[in-house]
Amino acid sequence: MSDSYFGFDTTMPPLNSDQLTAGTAEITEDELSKNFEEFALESGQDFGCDQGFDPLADQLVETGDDYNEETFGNDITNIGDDFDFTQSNAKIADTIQKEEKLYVDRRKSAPSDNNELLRQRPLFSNLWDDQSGGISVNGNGSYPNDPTNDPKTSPLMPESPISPSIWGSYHPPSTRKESLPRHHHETNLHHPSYENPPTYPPSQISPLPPGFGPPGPPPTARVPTLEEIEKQLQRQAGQSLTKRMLSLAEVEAALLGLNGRPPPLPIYGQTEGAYREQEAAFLEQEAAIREQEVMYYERERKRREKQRKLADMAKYNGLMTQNDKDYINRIQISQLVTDDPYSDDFYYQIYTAIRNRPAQPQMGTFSPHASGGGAMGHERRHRNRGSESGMLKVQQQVLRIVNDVRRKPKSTQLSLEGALGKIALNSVRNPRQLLQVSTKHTDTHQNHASPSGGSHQKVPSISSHGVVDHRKVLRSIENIYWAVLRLEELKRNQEREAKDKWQEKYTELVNKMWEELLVTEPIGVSFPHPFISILSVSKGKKVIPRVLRHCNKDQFTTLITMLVANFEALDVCKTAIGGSNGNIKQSILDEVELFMNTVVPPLLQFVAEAPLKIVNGLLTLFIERNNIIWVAKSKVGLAFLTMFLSRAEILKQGGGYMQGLPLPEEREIMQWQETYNRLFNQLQTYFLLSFPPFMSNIDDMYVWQFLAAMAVGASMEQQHILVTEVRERVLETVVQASRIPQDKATHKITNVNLFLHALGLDASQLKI
Amino acid sequence: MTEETTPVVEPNAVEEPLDLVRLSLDERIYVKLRGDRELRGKLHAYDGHLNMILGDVEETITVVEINEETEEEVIRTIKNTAEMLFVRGDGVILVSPPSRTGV
Amino acid sequence: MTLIGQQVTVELKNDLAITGILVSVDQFLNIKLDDIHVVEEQKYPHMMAVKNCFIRGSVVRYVKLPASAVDTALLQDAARREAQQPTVPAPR
Repeated sequence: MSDSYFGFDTTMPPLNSDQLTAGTAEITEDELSKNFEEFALESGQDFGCDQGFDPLADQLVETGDDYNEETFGNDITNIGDDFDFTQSNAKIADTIQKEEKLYVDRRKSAPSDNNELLRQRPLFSNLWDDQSGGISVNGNGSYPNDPTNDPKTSPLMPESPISPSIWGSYHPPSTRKESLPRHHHETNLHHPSYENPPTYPPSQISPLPPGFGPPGPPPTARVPTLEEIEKQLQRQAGQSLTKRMLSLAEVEAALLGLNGRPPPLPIYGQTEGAYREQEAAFLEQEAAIREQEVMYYERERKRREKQRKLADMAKYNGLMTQNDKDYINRIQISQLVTDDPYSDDFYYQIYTAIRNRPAQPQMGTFSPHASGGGAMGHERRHRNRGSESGMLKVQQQVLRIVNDVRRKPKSTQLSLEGALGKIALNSVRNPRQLLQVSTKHTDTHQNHASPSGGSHQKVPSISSHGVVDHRKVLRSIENIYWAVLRLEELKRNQEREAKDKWQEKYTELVNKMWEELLVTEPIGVSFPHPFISILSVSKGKKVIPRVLRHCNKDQFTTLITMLVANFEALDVCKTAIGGSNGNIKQSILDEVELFMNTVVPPLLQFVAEAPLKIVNGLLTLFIERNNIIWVAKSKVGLAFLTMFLSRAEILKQGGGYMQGLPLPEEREIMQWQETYNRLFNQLQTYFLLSFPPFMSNIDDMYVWQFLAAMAVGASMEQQHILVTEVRERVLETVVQASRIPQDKATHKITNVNLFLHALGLDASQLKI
Repeated sequence: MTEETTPVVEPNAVEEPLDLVRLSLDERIYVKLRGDRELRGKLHAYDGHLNMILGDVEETITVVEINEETEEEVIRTIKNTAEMLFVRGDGVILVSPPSRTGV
Repeated sequence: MTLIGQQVTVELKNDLAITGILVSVDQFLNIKLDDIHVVEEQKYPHMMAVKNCFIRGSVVRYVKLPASAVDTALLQDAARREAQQPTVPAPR
């Protein structure tokens, strides 16, 4: 049987039933020996332990042993039998043979397929079982094999399929043909693993049920060695066969017990009903226990699996202390922190300020660093105070790290203490470099260099001399922005810096900005004038109000003078004059609107404070330097004219007094009148051309305003000319107003009245 | 001209490609993107990654389709518009001022 | 960011476009959106059940913003300021 320690070959031809029924006790020793010998030869199995059965021994060469006596001594007769294995083995052989016979008998009743072999394994131990049950096989004299106890029909059999499944590959079939002693030895070697296999439920090793326990040494007490078994056998050598049977069974039972075998089940049928009953009861019990064991084992396995997983996950528990975690958090936060919220999230800061929404407290606002911007941080500190003290705490923690980082600002990598790797300091502003171009200009960045006209030297203009190419204009504009932004930042910082130093910086930046404006470029070197080119770009227009905020009066005057002198070159003038059909591209109209909203207001403000002398000078220049008829066709041109005319009229009437200006001298008024007359004369017969096409949707209010300004300063004769010229338009408008919805009509009439009121008239007086 | 002016410090002149992009702020630009996409719009913001925010954007996607029957390549363009568009820089191939005729 | 709370449309590099309320944006331009819906719902029906999402910045192609919520002049200034920032000199 494959799972027998004794390696019996279950493929041995079965004995006939007569032999089986004859009973073990009736088999003589001779027969057993013979059978055993035959079997050994037939199966080629070496039972090893009994040399007496080795036929090859007869052919041993017994010569050449001359010195044997010397070596081993020559008194053979005194040799004890303590090493006489042959003798004892011969005796075991009897037992084995007998057992073998029993087994073969049993086996005969079972089919010889491999599955059956597995099932039959427990049966072997029944030898012992029967004995321990107090029923000696030999004592009975005969132990008939009850055909009803056939393994297949036996009530015990349901047990069998369970057992192998629990024990798994307990006995590989390959061990089947191994010789007895070797197998035994192996068993000893394998013992620990058999005794406590990892998947083995502890209960399987548990002692046998009472009454079935082995009479021999307790299974777990010790592992009997081959020598021990042999000794035992030797001691029993003189005993009866029965006794020897018992001892062998004992050994086997001990081994089985040690190997965690289940309690052996009786296989040999009992004729006694009581025994059968007892057995059946036990088996039932046993089955229930097994079932429970199986369930328990399943649960246990799952539990262990779960625990293993938990342990696996938990092995990193406590690896980081709270301090460590905080530290990592701070490192991460420090990457986001800045000492200048305006530089790092300028848009957010200003946008929220504009929207009058309280900005979220920024980390950087708590930075003590005043230099390099972060101007508003100072104010904000007050604003944010008491908002969130928790935030403050984090910020203070973060500050330390930020300062650390700042100490080595030039490194592109940061290796924080305790960090496993380096933290790349690539940022939005400093992306990872893929190319290294010349580094000779890097100094300029360190210096926060301001843009200046010098930059133009480096990039040769591709345009021919006198023509300012677009890119150059854009560069100038961006340089203006550069300066303006720095000026604005400086203004925010004003209260933080020493006044002298601040003023110095401020003046320097204003000068820089002024240079970039190119206002002072000589006229006529290029066309259009560089300043006009700047104004012809929308972002150039947009920057003007911000520029003028930092300009002094002289610069203002210079700027407006330059503008007036080159007025007709402005895009809003030259391109914003409709042709015969009056169609103007929407993009141009947008530019005009932009100019009116950005450039004009500060200039208007300036003119509104200017003395008559300056107004007169500007208008004179305007008339002289531009084709005034042409300019008067543009909205922007009319706006300028209106601006000058209105201001002059106010000054003439003593309005400047309120502004602390002296009343204009008579000579100035005379000069102004001259200028006015020149203008009037030039525009005479062209006034109507200032209007946009009548049917266009353009609001012509600005024209009426201009006409009103002209009318106010005009003599009676000039007023008459004016009215005659625009009479047609007045009437048309009033007629049109009567046909359109009320609100629009009102607007139209109001426009007309701007002019009519200047003449002391009203639209209502008109009879259509 | 400006050649006479002596700058106090070296100007941060147009040395880097990104400075050229800066010149186009508030100007309409042309952007070529991966995946046969082109954008035309006004540049409102950009950063070092060429992430950009464009206004009044017109997107043109060029799709080459092969006519099953004639096996001719049919080039089809899809146009989309957006009033304000953030463009992730990793798809940008080139940024340029618009051609004089285009945009 | 000032656009938080605004409705934006994020177009991904796989052409999937998701409209939703902007919840947050981080330094990597990862985006969190709430109340999302896919622009081409019939083409991507599997997104129907998703109510909010986190979009990895790198998969974004465009983000369509509401122009009314953007101050372009300020944005341009912000970009200029950004360009002004001293860059870390390249290691020599």
